[in-house]
Amino acid sequence: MDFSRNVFIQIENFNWKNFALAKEISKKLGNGLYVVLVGFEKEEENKIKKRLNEIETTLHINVFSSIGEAKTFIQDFKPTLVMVTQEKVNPLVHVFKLTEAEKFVKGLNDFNILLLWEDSQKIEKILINLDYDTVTETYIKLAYEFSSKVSKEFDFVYSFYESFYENKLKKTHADEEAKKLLIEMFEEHVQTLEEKLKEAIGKEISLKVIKGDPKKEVPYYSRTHNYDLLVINQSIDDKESYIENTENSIAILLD
Amino acid sequence: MEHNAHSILGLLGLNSHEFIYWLSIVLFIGTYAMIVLEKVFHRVPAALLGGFLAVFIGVVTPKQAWESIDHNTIFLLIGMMIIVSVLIESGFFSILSSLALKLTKGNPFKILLTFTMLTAFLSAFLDNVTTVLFMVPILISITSKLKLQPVPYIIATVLASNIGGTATLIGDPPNIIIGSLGHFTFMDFIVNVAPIVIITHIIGTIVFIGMMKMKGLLEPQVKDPKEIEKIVEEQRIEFDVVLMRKGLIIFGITIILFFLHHILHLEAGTIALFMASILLLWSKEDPEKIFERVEWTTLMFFLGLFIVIGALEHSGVFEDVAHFVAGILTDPMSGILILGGLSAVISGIVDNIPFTMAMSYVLLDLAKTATFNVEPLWWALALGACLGGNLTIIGASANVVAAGLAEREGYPIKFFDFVKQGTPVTIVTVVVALGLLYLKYLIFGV
Repeated sequence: MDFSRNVFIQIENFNWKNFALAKEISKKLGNGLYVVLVGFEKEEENKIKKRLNEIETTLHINVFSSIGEAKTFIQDFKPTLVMVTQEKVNPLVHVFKLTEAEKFVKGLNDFNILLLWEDSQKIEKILINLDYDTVTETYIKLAYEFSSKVSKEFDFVYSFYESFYENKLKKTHADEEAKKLLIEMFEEHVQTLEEKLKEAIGKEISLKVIKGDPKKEVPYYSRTHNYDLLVINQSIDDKESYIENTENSIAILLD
Repeated sequence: MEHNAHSILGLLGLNSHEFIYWLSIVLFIGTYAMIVLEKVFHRVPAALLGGFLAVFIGVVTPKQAWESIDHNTIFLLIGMMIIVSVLIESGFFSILSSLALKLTKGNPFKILLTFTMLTAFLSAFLDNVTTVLFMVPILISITSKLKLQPVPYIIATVLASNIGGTATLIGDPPNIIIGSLGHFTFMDFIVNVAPIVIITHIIGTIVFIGMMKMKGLLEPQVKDPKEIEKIVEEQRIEFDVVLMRKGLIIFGITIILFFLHHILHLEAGTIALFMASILLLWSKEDPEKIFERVEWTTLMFFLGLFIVIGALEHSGVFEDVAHFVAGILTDPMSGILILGGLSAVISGIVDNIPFTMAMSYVLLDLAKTATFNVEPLWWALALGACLGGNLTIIGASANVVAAGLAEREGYPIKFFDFVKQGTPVTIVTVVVALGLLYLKYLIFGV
């Protein structure tokens, strides 16, 4: 997979820690970092440009006054990875306000996106989510390649939504039978995903299995097990929930 | 007058008005005794047995029993329980409780004060049941994490809810009835009742804080700030911002519609159930999962209780009580104390809605014949009926709902535990409130 056209987008605020991380990621992926500044005051913009040129003289810098213009640029430029700073927001505040990054990536469904958690400086531990209904070989290959280039430590995870399937089965089967079918379903899901992993990557890879509503459980697992990055696929159901529930960096990769 | 000739009582020739009148009282006392004897009987089957025995033998007809059920209360409870369940599912309460823990730094006194003040304020503008449904899960979560006994804190919050609800026209169902039948506006309540309630609430708070302090219930069990910090961190579990957003939008619209329900000519129950249906559709949450959190046992308890009290109403017991009260209301000043005190006692024992309704009609009749201004009596009724709800665990809907929530979490509230904390607060608040009302009319004239 080609990761040579990576864009680092900053809206109204420039996060230098994230910039350093974006540069490092870009380097690991094969260079080619483009900086896009959106909605900055002229004076601030010049200061940033000056400092960026001091750091790296060959850096491409594009400036736009609105999110709309920057989005059009992205559509035309077709970058291999779009990196944006994801603001740290308290979940209660988040309820009433989408972050600039979320507004920006809304509708950008044809790109690989990386929302860098505000001020984060490292990505050492990665959690790759596998969604049973939407996982594809393309996504597994891409997520594996991306993660192995960015970090040495990464895990694949699957969250089995037990209570959902249980309620569903109980509507059509007696309690005992439903329980039996649920166990079978769980085993079948895990086995299928392990096979898909083996097929896509070409070797046995262990899969972490947790239980619960994936859009809540996986971000929670990622947060409480000190992962720096959560990876999900673009066409996953409830994508917005995964993004908004995650309190570390999150990558949304093409499938 | 003979009742229901085709019932079991009718077949036995026992359907005279007098027999049914006394039987309804016996049924009520029997049911009440079973509820009180909670070590022997669970209060839900006790209330259901009382209610449906009344229908079975013919004290009330099935139609009368159905009409006795306050559908507004039941719909309001179901609707708000669904909305709150979605909010629980979204992790909203765990985030809120972690915030409350952070703000109070785990100090039991600050927790109690914050929760009772906030609850009283919210209850003045929201239905008490809604406030309790909202506050109790947070309180249970915080107190249990801090190794405190949740029950006294829950009771204190419920007491605050009933006191706060007394302040405004929309705070408590008896006030809505009084406002509607007595033609009083929101501002009439703000001017005549709210100042009294504010003072009463402060004094009530001092009483229950004093009681809890004396019992050592405000002593911190977790003292190490680092440990408290750890608890705050652990408090935050899985959450779903998108679901929380949907839940809070619907909750917000529901509250706005509650404010407008007089203009819209819609009952709060209809609004709550309608909005809950929208939320279920919009959130795409599995309804079965959400319904699991609905307090069905509380709803069943209300169902039985409404029928038992309906039997008293249909057999004319309420009417007689109301006429008895009317007979002793000879002047407004003594009337404040008599009507207020009696309303408090009766509201603490039976549901205050039918009683307020009956008394309101009596006051309307009295206004036509009395030679004095009956307005002070309306306010005495409001204060007595609302504050009296704190007397027992079945005195107000909010008490029953809180007991249900607490029981579900493994902290059952015993009838006498509630009485021990509720009765002193009720006596003090009723005495203070009626005293202030009396003083007001003594100084400014009737």
